[in-house]
Amino acid sequence: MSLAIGQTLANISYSSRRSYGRKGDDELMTAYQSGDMRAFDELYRRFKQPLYSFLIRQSGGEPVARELFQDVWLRVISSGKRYSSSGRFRSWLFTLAHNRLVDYYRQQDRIPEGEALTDVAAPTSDSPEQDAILMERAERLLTIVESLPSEQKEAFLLREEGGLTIEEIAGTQNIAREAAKSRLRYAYGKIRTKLAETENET
Amino acid sequence: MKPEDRNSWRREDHEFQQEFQDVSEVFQKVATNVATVPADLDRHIKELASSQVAEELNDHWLLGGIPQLSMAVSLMFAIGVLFVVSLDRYETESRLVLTDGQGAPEFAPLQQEGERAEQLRKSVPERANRGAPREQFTNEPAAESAGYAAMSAEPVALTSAAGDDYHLLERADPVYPQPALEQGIAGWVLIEFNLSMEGKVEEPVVVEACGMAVNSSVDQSCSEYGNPIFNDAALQAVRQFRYKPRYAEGRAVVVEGVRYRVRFLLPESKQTLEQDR
Repeated sequence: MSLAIGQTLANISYSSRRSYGRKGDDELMTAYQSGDMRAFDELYRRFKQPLYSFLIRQSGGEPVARELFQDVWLRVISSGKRYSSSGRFRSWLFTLAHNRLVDYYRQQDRIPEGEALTDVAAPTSDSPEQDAILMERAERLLTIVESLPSEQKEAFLLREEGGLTIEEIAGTQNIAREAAKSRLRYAYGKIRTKLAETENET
Repeated sequence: MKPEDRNSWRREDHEFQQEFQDVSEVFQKVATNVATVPADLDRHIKELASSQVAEELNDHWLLGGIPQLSMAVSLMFAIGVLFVVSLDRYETESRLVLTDGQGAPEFAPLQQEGERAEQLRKSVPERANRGAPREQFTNEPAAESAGYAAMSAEPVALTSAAGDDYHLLERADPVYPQPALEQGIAGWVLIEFNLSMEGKVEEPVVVEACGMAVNSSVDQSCSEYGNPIFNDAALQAVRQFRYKPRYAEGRAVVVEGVRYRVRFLLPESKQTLEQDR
């Protein structure tokens, strides 16, 4: 008993003296599990943006993404000892997101198909003309991404927003590695072709 | 899973990335970070997280209904232990920080040998002047993919990102210094810099440098720390990098202490450096 408390306290005090920025994701997660709130802050800081972007693209809009985002983090928070550091935290997090999205679609009784989702972050270049060009380009690109079949789109976003490896994407989507690879290949290839087409038109 | 699998997967991932780099670049440039996480959502989740911590600590206290006195005794004991433990660990840690090789797997011995660290600190004066290394965003191993680009017969200079936490938008390949080529020297330079709000590299400094004659590196550890032969080439390349600006709470922020390892590999040295992975 005293050991358990000692260990917890030791972790807290030990951690606070180190730079959190240089810890690995898994290490942070383990530290949080033993009660270290600053470890969670750092972990959250690292992953909130990629996860949020991923959910927004996958769920079709801000209100839904908000809810799903909260659910995913809630699972992280309450995972307790269920999380083991066998894999990468990143991959585990996006698998949680994937599962939550599947549940959501099931509730909605539909498969996501080409929602008009073309929100674009305001580009930050020097000139308005350049902004306009970038904006237009972004919109075209997102329209193409939206037009992909849902599994391909997800694979693409897991890679680009989530930074997952092919192996991890296969794990998340529960398919063979080779299948994940060809899914990705197809998605990227299609985006490239269509992007070239639209650029030629204009 | 066999280690060979892991290696070939890594290589495949890297090849895939190379093959579709154009698509990836466009997407990263214009379409990521579509919306910033709203501040109220941030707050809400952090509250949830800390209330969970509080609950778990409560569970500990209630566990088994141990009498107050014995709790107090064990707590005092624990504090004593933790004090010693944390001092001890802190010591170890500070040594590690000084020798932090940014997880470069091929030079793992560096992290265990105090002497070598000592030697290293002396040989790279810039490092000593900087004092304690500043926070960096990730301690993931410096781009594991770095070795695989070195497939060509030409001598190549490689750059490897410090973790995948950053998005490099523009990258300049360093020029392999002629003297190094002539003497058959390979090595790397670890550079630390700040990123401006625009994602530009500022104040790059050499943190660690290594240059060694290829045929001398039988034991695969760096035999010549502090060899400045690659410093200029590496600095020059890194100065031209441009990163995607980082946002916090919807505003672009300066990022301090980003690290980047620029590798200089000769075709013959490739095997030597890669074997260790």
